[in-house]
Amino acid sequence: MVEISINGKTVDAEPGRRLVEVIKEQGITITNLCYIDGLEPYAGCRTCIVDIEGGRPSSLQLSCTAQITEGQVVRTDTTEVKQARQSVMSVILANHPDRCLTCHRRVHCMPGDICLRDDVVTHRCLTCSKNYRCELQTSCENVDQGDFSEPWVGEKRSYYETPPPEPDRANPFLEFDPQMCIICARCVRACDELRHTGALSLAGKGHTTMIAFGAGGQIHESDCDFCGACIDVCPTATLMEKPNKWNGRADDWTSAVCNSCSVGCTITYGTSDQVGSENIPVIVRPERINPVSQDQICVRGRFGYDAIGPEDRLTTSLERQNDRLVPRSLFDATNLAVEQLRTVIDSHGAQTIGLLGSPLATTEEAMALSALADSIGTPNIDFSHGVIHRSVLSSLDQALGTNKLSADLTDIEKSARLVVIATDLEESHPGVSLRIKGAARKNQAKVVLISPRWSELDRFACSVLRCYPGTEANVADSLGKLETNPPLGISTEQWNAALTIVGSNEEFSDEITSVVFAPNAIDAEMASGLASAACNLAIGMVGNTTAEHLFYLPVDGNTHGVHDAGIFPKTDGKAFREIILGAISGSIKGLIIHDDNPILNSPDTDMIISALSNLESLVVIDSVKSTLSDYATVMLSEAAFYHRSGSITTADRRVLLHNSIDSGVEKEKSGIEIIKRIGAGLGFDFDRVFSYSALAEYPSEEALVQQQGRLRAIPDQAVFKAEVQEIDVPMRRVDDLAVFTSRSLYTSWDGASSASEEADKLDREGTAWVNPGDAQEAGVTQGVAVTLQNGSHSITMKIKLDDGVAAGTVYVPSYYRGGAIMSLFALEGLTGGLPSVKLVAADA
Amino acid sequence: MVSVDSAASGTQTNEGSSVTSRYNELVRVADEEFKYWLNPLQPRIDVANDTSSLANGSDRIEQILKQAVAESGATIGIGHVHGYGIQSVHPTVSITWPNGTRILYGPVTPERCSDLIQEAQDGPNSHLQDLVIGQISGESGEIASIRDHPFFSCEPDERRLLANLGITDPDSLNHAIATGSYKATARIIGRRMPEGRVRDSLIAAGLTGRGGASFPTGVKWNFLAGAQGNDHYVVCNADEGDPGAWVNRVVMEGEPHSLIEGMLIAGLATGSRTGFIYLRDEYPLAIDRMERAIQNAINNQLLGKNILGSDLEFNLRVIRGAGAYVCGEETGLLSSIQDSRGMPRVKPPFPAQVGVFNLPSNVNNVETYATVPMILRHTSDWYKELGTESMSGTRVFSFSGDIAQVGFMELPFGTPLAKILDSCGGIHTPNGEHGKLYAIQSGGPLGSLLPSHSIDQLILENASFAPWDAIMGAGGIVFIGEGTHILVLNELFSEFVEEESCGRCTTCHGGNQRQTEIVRRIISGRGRRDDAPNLKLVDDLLQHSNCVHGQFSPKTMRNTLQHFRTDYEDAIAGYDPTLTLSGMYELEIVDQTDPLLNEAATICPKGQFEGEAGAWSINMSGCVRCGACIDIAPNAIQKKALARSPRVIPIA
Repeated sequence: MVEISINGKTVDAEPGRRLVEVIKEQGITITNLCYIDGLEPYAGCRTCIVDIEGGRPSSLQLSCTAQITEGQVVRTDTTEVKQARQSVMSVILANHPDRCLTCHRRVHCMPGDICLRDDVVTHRCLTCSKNYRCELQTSCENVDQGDFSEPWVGEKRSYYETPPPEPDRANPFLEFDPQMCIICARCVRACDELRHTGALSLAGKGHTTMIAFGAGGQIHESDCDFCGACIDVCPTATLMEKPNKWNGRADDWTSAVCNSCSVGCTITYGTSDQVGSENIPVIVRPERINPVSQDQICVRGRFGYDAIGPEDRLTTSLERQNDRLVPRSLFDATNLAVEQLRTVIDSHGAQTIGLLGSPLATTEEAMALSALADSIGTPNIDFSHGVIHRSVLSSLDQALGTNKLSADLTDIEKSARLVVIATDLEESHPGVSLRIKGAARKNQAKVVLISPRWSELDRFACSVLRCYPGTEANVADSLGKLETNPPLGISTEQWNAALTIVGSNEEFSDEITSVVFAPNAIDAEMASGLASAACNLAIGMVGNTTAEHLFYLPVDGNTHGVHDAGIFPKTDGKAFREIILGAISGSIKGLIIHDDNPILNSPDTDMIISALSNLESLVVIDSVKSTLSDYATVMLSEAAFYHRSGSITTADRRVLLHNSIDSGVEKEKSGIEIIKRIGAGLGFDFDRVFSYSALAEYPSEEALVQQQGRLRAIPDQAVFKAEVQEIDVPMRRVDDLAVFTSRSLYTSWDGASSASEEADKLDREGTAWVNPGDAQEAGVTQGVAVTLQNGSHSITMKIKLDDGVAAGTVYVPSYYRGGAIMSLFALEGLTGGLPSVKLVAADA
Repeated sequence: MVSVDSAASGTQTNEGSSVTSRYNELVRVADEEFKYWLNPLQPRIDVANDTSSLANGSDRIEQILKQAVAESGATIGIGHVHGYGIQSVHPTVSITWPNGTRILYGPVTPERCSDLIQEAQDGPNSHLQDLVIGQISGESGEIASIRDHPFFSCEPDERRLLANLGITDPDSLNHAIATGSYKATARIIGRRMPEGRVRDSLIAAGLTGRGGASFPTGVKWNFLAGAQGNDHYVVCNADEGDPGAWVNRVVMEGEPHSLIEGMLIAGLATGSRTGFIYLRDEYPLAIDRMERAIQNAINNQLLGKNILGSDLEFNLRVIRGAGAYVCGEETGLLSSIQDSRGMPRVKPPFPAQVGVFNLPSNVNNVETYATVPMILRHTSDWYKELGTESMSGTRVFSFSGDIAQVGFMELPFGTPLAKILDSCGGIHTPNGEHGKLYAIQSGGPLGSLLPSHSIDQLILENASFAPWDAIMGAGGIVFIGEGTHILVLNELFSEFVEEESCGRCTTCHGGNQRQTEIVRRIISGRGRRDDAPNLKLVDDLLQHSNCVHGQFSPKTMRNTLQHFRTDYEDAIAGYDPTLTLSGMYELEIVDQTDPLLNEAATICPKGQFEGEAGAWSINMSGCVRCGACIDIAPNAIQKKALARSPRVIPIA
């Protein structure tokens, strides 16, 4: 630390840091339109001029390029500084609709007022979607731009001689209006240096310089993943979220957690007092609470609140009367549900009741549901992916003596060696994928990728082992054993590259090694084998410290939380599959489903549907009009996730607090209240508070509030065992084409669960990936509709030819058309996870 | 004071002697070939094949000559050399007779080719007396030596960098070796000369960067030699983009091996194993020639691995520029080489710390590298014999503009500009008459505009330009005669720097747009009193730019306000004696009987001619002052100054 002087005040600062960051930390307002904290300065806007004593050639220097040195004397408030900033600002404004920015009357102007300076409407901030939340606007106010005489007013602008670039409004997420751009290039750097995507670039030179997506085409044709990092850094209205472009001016912010995957990125919901915007979030921004996600979220996090329209939300509770669902008040519907459940209990016994929770719910809701099962006296409680999760946990237990891994996801980016086993981590867990890319880019980490399908991570991997689906465990195990010959179908070159990385423990002894695996939620046997194989692989690389370096990424948000809360079959209880079989055989008569949707999540759709149709009572508590509504006897309308509070336990067992944007709604319709009311209705004592702090190893409420985002539900004990397990998963092969699936990026849970038309807004996930060779053999071409036939089951969809899938395999996103692909899978282990299909042209 | 010759006491190892013997073998072969080049067995006609000659039709001349020789069966050889320097007489050819006499002729037209063959057969001065420019070599006869040609009167008695220009075939490695190329390399490697002594000898010679900034080259190399890590790069800036400068092109097209050897020595002296030549794509011939020369050098173990049989390695690669002026800025050039967008970087870090591919690099101009071998071949003292106290040696300058003879010369620093203008034949109007000097433009669009009266005080040295708030620049000097308006030049340069801004600094891409707009408005006749202060404001804010492109871009405008204030004020007031500013004159038809007038009427791109034959009128409100009609009917249409009543021009 050295002492410097800023505006006469002595400040301690770290030498070498960028001066502008220190100035901002001191609470001094400074215009810096192109600087992004933490990144190398771009020094394009030239507005952060300050006076540094002894600076050369003049004392007016940029504070973004200047670094802290001992004894620096800095002034930000002199007349010269202000005038220099004003003059630079004036040339920025010359190419931006600016008439309000330099007008001293702007604060008095109201929408609809006639401009007293008679300026054209398109040059006024009042017609701009970024009005009142614009960094350029505040910057102009900072330097009193209105006081500066504008020498360029009325000049024939050479900028406007070339036809103005067209705005791009062709996609549902991101709007790009280059006319508003001041070419600060923050978006270019955010996309490249923060996201490692590089979809944006600068194009042209001189006055034709502009931001371009890809080679200058439309956004959705570029590499853009619509994460919106560019929107966050844009100081003008150039890059805007489409859904909230005009109403995204938030009056209040609520810290929350995204539950669309198990990474648990922290977000903040912006809410507005504007008429028409009450009670819904108007904008979502990243919140830095979770040190894993930091200031980054993905398209699901940013636009998830808007994933489905009001028509797909379950806004009123419903009661089934024959074929129809009739609206009921929540109070009436709850009573009805209680009545139905009591009838089932009374006539068939409590054991005939089953309950399904969901990892999309909060831990507290899961605790309440578990308590409800206990009160009823039924051990039959689970969630659709429960078996898969528990089989992974038991594999971990066997190998490591614990399933509560202490590995911390913040280590991923610091890793120097990474093995990743997943179908497409970029789509299923974008937050972790981002950190892996960061390790590769910033830390030159060596990444080995075991995956049956191309993903964006391929580009960052030193070795890509493109395996046959379902053989990930075998490949990982062979790799862990450093077998010289590659497993069937894997290129020798890639295998040798992987062996060098996995085998050089010496070289990486001082650095962090991480093993990440994300099992698919289809087949428990595969998942368990994969977990064991990942353990073996990690044990081979890091030995006894495996638990600190092994990352298990469940599919859904709060998988760890709901398991910890007790959503698993109690003694002699039925697990998910048994519950389904029980419903068919008649040993389960009543089912309560909270937020889950077996039709979407579980294999063998036909069996699920016959089970659900066979129930005497199906009580569904959900916030969306899910596909379960066809079979429910009562649908209880729950508040949307952003209207509920609770905690979420993420993949690395981090406990995060999720807050409702409106606690008033929470009281009425939150899942926890509904479950409590059912419990009370059935005559049990439910007048208590459910809190994560009651769970073993979870932090106390006081501690969590103080250290938000830092606390994790892991045991204190540091050393675990590390035993290599025998893997007995067969190397599978099917006769025809093997179908595999995984979570895709754009389709939200809400949209998929309700099989909404809007589920896949970009229309990117409605195709099956077929290897060109297989397509040729089957006589089908790019874009045609084909039928994937597995015995009596089939689905029909369009295909795209892509050699990102190996020959003999077909990939279909799991959320396509409300989980349509699930009908091809069987709810049994072994072959169930890898159906064999024939490819038939649909019109044939 | 160290030079290769005085470093003869270095320890001789076995490897060293093998390097020397390999080099001697190369020299032996080269001398053998070169002997017959200078004294051919039969007369040989050498056609100049540099870009300027080719543009003037030298390839056509060569074709005709070859055909004629083949048809007549004359025993005449055809060869190639680089042009000698006076580009106003291109295309040139030289004839070499077996006795060693070599005479330069030009400009050669296809009709004179038969005479040329006759001359070659019959001996000097028999058929082409009118085209003789001078005798390049041989016994002095009745033809004056080329060194006595008035155009070269400012050059030293012997050329240094361009010593072999017009004499050797630039594509021939043997010619280069026979004239001394790679001698310094062989000495350095053969005698294991310490790296530091090479750099010291450059410092002692006072060699400064030729790109314009004139930084001592040896000191710059010291930075790279002292940089961290083992991977260093040497980079050559051959992105010569200034209009009116073609110095680097001449060096690369005429003496490619001097550049290669210079970079090789730089590599040896700074511990770099790789070099890049960033060559603008607008120089296709130079690219071709450099690549061929590099390949020749590799084939003869002068580049690549095991140079001259030693364990030293140096690889050289030509990178083609994509046409951005700002990539001539050294850090922009580095970005461009590594496939990033060609934008100058934020300094520090400097290239010697973070250069190409983020590794330490050294960037020098073509001529800087090309000068190095010569200094090491001779001595630092020899090099300092020419030039001034602050800038030693010679450098190549190209002169163009409204002068009688356009061309390039190798001049010692300190040569008076007035003398140079005389040797170029003075100012020349488009009609071929003698004119008066109006302005001197040096250093390209980021350089300076100097008034005519400055010429008596200017010598070729940075220090003499400084009092005029001017820079000498990178070798291109343009003399502008009266009849041109300074604001026309300003518009040209303003537009250029504006379009070539990389787009990083708002001050640069925004500020230059504002400057261009103001200049255009003044030219259109709507100048304002407050334009000068506003141009000053642009000037001030451009100083906050990142690189020299932004910082130097207002310089020509500033020079205008300093040195051409009267012309500027007159233009603001709507008065333009040159009738070149579009807003200050109108067109008048003075001769309705001129038959060319009808043609002029049809060429008008705006269709502003009204009436019919014999009664034409021009609608001035629609006229864009393109001048096409005047070009067709110069006697019938004339420019007429607009009558302007004095007016009160409001301030903002």
